[in-house]
Formats: sequence, C-alpha cells, structure tokens
Amino acid sequence: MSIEPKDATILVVEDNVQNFVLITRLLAYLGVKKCEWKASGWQVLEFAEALPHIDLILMDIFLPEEDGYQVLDRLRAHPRFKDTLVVAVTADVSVANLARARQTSFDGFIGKPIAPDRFPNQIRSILKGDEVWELE
Amino acid sequence: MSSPGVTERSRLPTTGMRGGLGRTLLTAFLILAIVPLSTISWYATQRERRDIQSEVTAKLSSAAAMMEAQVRQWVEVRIADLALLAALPATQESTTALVSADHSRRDATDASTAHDLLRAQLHALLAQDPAFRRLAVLDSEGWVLVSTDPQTESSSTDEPSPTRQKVTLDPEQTSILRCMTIDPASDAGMVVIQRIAGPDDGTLGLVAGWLNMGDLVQTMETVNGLGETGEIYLVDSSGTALPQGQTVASSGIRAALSGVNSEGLQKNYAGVPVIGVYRWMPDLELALVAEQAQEEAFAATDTVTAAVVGATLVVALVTAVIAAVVTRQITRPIVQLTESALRIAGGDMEQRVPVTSRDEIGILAYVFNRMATELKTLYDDLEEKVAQRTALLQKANYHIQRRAIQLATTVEVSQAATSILEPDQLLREVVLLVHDRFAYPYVGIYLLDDEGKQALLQEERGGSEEMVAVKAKPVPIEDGSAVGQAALTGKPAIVRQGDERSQAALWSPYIRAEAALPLRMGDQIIGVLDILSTDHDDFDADDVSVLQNVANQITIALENARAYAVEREAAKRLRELDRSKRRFLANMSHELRTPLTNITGFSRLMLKGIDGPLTGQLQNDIEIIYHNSQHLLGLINDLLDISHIEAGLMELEFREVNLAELIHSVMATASALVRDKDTELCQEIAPDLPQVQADAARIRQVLLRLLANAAKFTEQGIITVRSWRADEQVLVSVSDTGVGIPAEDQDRIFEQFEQGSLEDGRRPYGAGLGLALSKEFVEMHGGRIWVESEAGQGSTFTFSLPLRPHG
Repeated sequence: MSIEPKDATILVVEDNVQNFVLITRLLAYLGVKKCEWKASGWQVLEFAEALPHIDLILMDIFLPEEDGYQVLDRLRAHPRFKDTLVVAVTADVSVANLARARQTSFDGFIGKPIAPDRFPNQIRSILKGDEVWELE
Repeated sequence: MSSPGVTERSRLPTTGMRGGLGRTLLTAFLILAIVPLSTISWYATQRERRDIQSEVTAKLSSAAAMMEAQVRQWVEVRIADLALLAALPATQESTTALVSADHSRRDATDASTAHDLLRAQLHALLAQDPAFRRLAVLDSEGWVLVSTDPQTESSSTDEPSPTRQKVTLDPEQTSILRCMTIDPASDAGMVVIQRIAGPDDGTLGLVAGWLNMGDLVQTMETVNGLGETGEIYLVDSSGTALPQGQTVASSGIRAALSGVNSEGLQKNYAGVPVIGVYRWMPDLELALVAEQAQEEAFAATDTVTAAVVGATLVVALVTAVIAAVVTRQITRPIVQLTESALRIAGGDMEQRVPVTSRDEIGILAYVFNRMATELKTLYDDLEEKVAQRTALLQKANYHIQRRAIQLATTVEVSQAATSILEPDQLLREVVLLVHDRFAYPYVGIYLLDDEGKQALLQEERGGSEEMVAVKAKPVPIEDGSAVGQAALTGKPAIVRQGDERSQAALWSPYIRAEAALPLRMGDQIIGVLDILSTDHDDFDADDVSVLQNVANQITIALENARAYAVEREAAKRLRELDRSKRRFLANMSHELRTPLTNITGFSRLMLKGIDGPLTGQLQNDIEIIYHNSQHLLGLINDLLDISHIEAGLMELEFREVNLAELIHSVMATASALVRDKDTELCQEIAPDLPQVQADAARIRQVLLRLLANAAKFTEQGIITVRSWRADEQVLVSVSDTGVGIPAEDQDRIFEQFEQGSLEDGRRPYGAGLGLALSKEFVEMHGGRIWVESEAGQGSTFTFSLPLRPHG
C-alpha cells in the first residue's frame, strides 16, 4: 500500500496553531493537497467519521479534553479506523513514551520539534508504508 | 527479749522448774540421810567381822592344838608299843640270834626258830593294834630280818628294798619317826622305828612299824565342833592331805610346809574363802590345817547387814517424802513467780504475784511486783516512742516515695520535652503528667503575652468550676498574685490560705496552697507553671526545687518546640519555594520551547525555500535567526534535563551499546562543526573495545557536547577522540589543541552555571550547563569525568563507563 502525497488525505490533530501551520506548510511542500485539522482531543472520532476519506492521522499526545492515547483507543474501536495509519507527533521524546506508543498500536513516532529538513521525507516514507520511529 | 507467745510458754512448763529444784533438794536430803547411816553400818559390820574372825580363829587354833595332841598321842602310843616289843628279852634274843647268824651258812635251826618267834611276836602286835599296817625287825643297818609281810622279807635278804632306806639311829636315840607320806593308799606312809637294845646297851636291831593312816583318820574324826564347813586335815611335805587323800595346795598350806605357822582369811585348796589356822609339826613332818568357810563364819554378820540396808531404805523413803513436802513449800511461790514472769513476757503487764509470806520468797515476790510495775512503765513509754518513730519513718517514707515520683516525673517531662515538638501537645502532656503523678488538684501553665505584661492561661488540668473561672482570666504581672509575682520576679512564689496577698476566690476546704514557678530562659520569663495543693504546708524547699526543675524542663522543651516550629516553617517555605521554582522552570522551559520550535521550524522552512527564493541578505539574516533559536533550544533542553535530574525524574535506559559505532555516528554529525575551520577530526578506537551497558542517547549527548566544546575553542588544530578498555570499564577521551583551561577553572567547569573564562572576557561555555549535565549523565552511568588541560596547550576531557553499571 503506497500512497502518493498528492493523493493523500491527512488529518492533523494538534492544539498549537503554529505547529499545525508549520506541518501543513511542510506537507504542502511535500505535495499533500488535502489536509484536515482538529485542534483538540474532543470528538476526534466524530470529526474523522465526517470526513469521506483519511489516509494518515498525525496525532499530538498532549491535547485538551482527551489525550492522544484516549483518542487512538476510540479510533481503533471503530471498524473504519481499525487499520488507519496513526502516527504520534509529540514533544515527549522519551524512550518510554515511544515504547508506549508502539504498544498502543500507533503506527509511527515523530519527535517534536519537527525538523523541517527531515519531516517531508518522514511523511513520504510513512505514506510509502515504511515505519518511522524517531525521537528527534 | 523473748517474744511473747504460746509456744514459748509451753516450752517452759512450770512443773519443769519445780521438778529441777525438787530433784536437787531430794538428792541432798537422801545423801545427808544415807551416807552417815551407810558409813556407820559399814563400820559396825567390819567390827563384827573382825570379832567373828578372831573368834573363829581361836576356835580353829584350839581345834588344831587338840588335833595335834591327838596325832602325837596316836604316834606316841605306837612308839610305846614298839618300845615294849623291843624291850622284851625274847625279842632281844631272837634278834641277836638272827643278827649273829651267818647269812651264807645259816644255822638253820636257830635262825629259823628266832625268826618264827619274832614273826609271831610281830603278828601278835599287829593283831593287837589295828593302827599298824605292817611290822618288821631290821638289823642295825636297816635290812629287813623279819616282817609281817613275807614278800618284803624275802626280797630284803638279797638287796635293799627300793622302799627302804638305811636307818641309822644315834646312840642316844631310841626311836625315830619317818613320814614318807600320809597317803593311806601308799605302801610307804608313816614309819615308826624303835631300837632293840642289847645287853651292853648296843644296838641289836630295829623294830619298825608302818602306821595305818586310816586309823588316824578315825581318830581325827573325833575332833569336831567346827560347824558344817569346818575342816581339819594333815598335809605332808609332798602336799598330800589326810583325810582327803589327795594333793592339796593353798597359800596357807605352802606357808605351813615351809615351817611358818599362820592364820587368817585365806582361800582353801578348793578356792573357797575360809578362815584358816596353819601349823607345822616338825617332828612329825606334817602340817596341820584347820579351816572354816567364811560364808558360814560370817553368816551372823549378813543378818546385821540386811537390817542396816532395810533401815537405810526406810530412812530414804521418809527423807524423800519430807523432801517432797519441803520442795513443794519452797517451789510453789517460785513457780507462781515464774508463771507471772512468763505472762509479763507474753505481754500481760498487769500481772502481779500475791505476797503471802514474809520470808525471802515473800520479799522476792514483792520485788518482782515492783519490777513488773517498772517494766510496765518502761514498756508503755517504749510503745509511745515506737509509735512516734514509726510515724516519723512513715513520713520519711512518704517523702522518699514522693521524691521518687517527682524525680520519675521530671524524667518523664524531660522525655516528653525531647520527644514532643508540637508546643500545644507538649504543654498538654506536661500538665497531665504533673497533675497525675504529683497528685495535685490543679496544674496550669501560663504564657506571657508579647508585651510581657499579662500571663495567659495556656493549658490546665483539674480544679473546680469557680477555680477554672478565676484562672481563665488574664493575670497582669503586677497584680500581686502568685502567678503575677513569679512572672514579674522570675522566682518561685508560694502563697498559702490566709496570706494577705492571696486571692480569696481561690481557696476552698480542699485548696490551701499555691505555687507559681517561672518558666525562665536566661533573663527572659516566658510563662509560669501554676500548681495548687490541698496541703497547707505543701511546697517546702525540696518540692519547690523539684518543681522548678520541672518548670525548667518545660521551658527548654517549649523553646525547643518553638525553635523547631520556626525551623519547620522555614524548611516548609523553602520546600515550597523550591517546588515553585521547579514548576516555574518546567513551565517556563515548556512555554519557551513551543514558540522557539516555531521560530526554528519556520526559519528553517524559509531557508529551505519553501516560501519562495530568498535574497542573499535575507538568507544570511534568517540563518542567524535559525542558529540562535537552535542554540536557545539547546539551552532550554539542558535546563529541562537538569531540572529532571534534580527532581529525580531522569531515568536512564540501559542497553547494550557498541561504543565504536556510536563514536562513528557522532563523528559524522560533528564533522559539520568543523566544516568551516582548519581543524581535523581524528579517532583512535581500540579494536577490542567491548560493548557497554549504557543509555546510548545520553552518551551520544555527552560525546557531542565534548566535541562541540572542543570545536568551539579549536580554531586550528586536531581534535582526537580515543576510546580504550581499562579493566572493567571503557574510557573515552576528547582531546583538542585549543586554548586550554586555566588550572584554577578546571574544578569549576563541571558545576552548574559555571564557566571557564577567557582572557579576553569572552564567555566561552554557553550557559554553563553542558558540562554539568555531562557530568550528571556520566555519573548516572557509574562513571567519572575529568579534564586535563594546560592553558594554551589544549584540553583533554575523559570519561569512564563501567561495562556493567550496576554490577
């Protein structure tokens, strides 16, 4: 399963606007055309359900309302998002957090701050089906 | 003194006293009665015996004399018989004929005629006198010529008979008596010999007659009158006795046989005690013995003895009765005295003895009564004294116990003082202790207010409602009450019921004294320990001393508690401060990071040309922004790490790490650091470098920091990374040829917020967190980091990592 960036629909769950902007700019630089944004952990599943199609969810962990892990649990409980790519994008770059992310069925891990030099390539790899687990 | 008791009295029975004295008196009486009586009796008996003895001896002597005469007469009759025979002419002629005849050629006719004639004569005499047993005619030399016993005659012609001895008579002597033995059974026996005189008065021969002892015995039997045991007998020199016919021996007999006459008390041959008379008759060669048994002789005296013994017994009996009566007379009052004395000993001081007589015993009773009276007085006095002493002792005991309790309480207060650090609880405990242990009705503690003008009740225990109401009011220190005085003067104040300055409201039938003891710390008085007592005379100097001690303990404890509270407050504040500092730090770091990441991110975005191409100047400016924001981000990350470490939240993640690979990787990153410099990066890694247990990310951080530092201060030269194994650890060093670090800075550079300094004043080490953090990370691995440097000659930073950090 390989998805070209230009065909991909990516949902970004991120409470910091600038971060979201930086991410969307870098995704746009990569060629991604459809990028959705959810700014809190509240009703992420309902928001995602409303979308016709999602290829990748970039999920912050520290979120208002519900944190990334809770959100992921809800998503995985839903048949539509059982196998959807969900990658943690978080400032908690501890090995423990990364291990937890692996255990709780995240599909990848990208540490913050986002490195603009590498981020587009990381996303491209993920869309290609490679796994990315990087602390920085 | 003997303890009065039933056993004592029963062990000293009064009959025992009487018995002792009675026995003594009885013995004395008996001795007095019996001894003289016995002595006299004995003396009389002895006299009697002596008399009887001499009487019997005399009787025996006369009997002996009579017997002697009889024996002599008996012998002399026989001699006369023989003399008559010898004087007969026929005898003389016949003898002459026989003697003159030759033996060898004997004129048979003459000789035979003479012989027969003589024999006839001899037989005639023998028949006439039974006192002769045998008769014979002998020649002048003693040889038998004719005998009434033919056997003897015939043998005698050839040789002398063994039983014969040659008989020689002196010229004047007409007869002899030879006593061989008086044994009647013997053939020898007593021989009487008579000369046969010739016409010229020469000796023709001898006529011999052997006496029949049995005849003598018959003669002897006529002598009598010596009682039943009286005995008279003859003894020859060989010891043979007649009439007994046996050999006898006794000391009297032996004396007589040796020629000494004697008499007296002896034992006879049969061992029977006898009175005896012993005579020696030399001509007859016989001893004469007359004896009578003592038993028979003294029979009369035994009667006397029996009479005396009987009399003695009667006297003894009478004496005993008299003694008993007298003893009873003497001992009865003594027994009474004894019993009285025992009753007194038993505690009955009222005991008196009736004075019934005026003799010594009466006087004794009188004196005894006086003594009893004296004793009673003394005893009563003694009891009083004992009661007094006991009371004193009890009081002393009470004081000692009280003191012990006080001391124990002091110790408890002291313990409470050291163990309780909360002032209110401390005061509560102490008041409770003093109240309960000392058993005071009321105990309170006042503390002075801040101005020191009023004492305020802080804690109390006990007391009635009224009293509590009185005590609850603030006490101005100049109001003159005990508490006020103690607070004012700093000295213990004692007030008793009835004192002028006392508070009337305080007193009740149960409360009579008050002690106020200052709680004094040096010159400063902080409060008063107030105690009320039911005893008007309570609070003597000793009590006050102990209570003041307790008060001092309270003061110290209070001060300690206060100091502790202050300390604890300060510590709490410090902790809070620290916590808020950390919170602030963490928050600030996070808050700083978020915008900073954006600055970095967006500047990088622009540099990548995502927003469109940049002009040369724009490119340059944005690069400056980018680098500075990155630097700032590094600092903030360091701060976050440091605060994590200090909060104990930093945990390393140990894994097997290949150091050689890690160094390669870091070197690749670091090559960017020296890209614009004339500096060469080198690495010397031992080929046998083992894997280590480590947190790769942190080691990477440390190494990168050391390299960054080295690159920063080495404009031109070589930076070398070395790694080798030493025992159970691996060493990694980063050497540069840069400016070096002055010796005085080498110790400080690993401290937080410390930096080495350069001579031009430039601050060379960033915020000074990098090396401190490196040190933390290395030490968390169980390793060590240090620097060797010489200013201008470059530096070598080395750190060690144990192969197994926790092994």
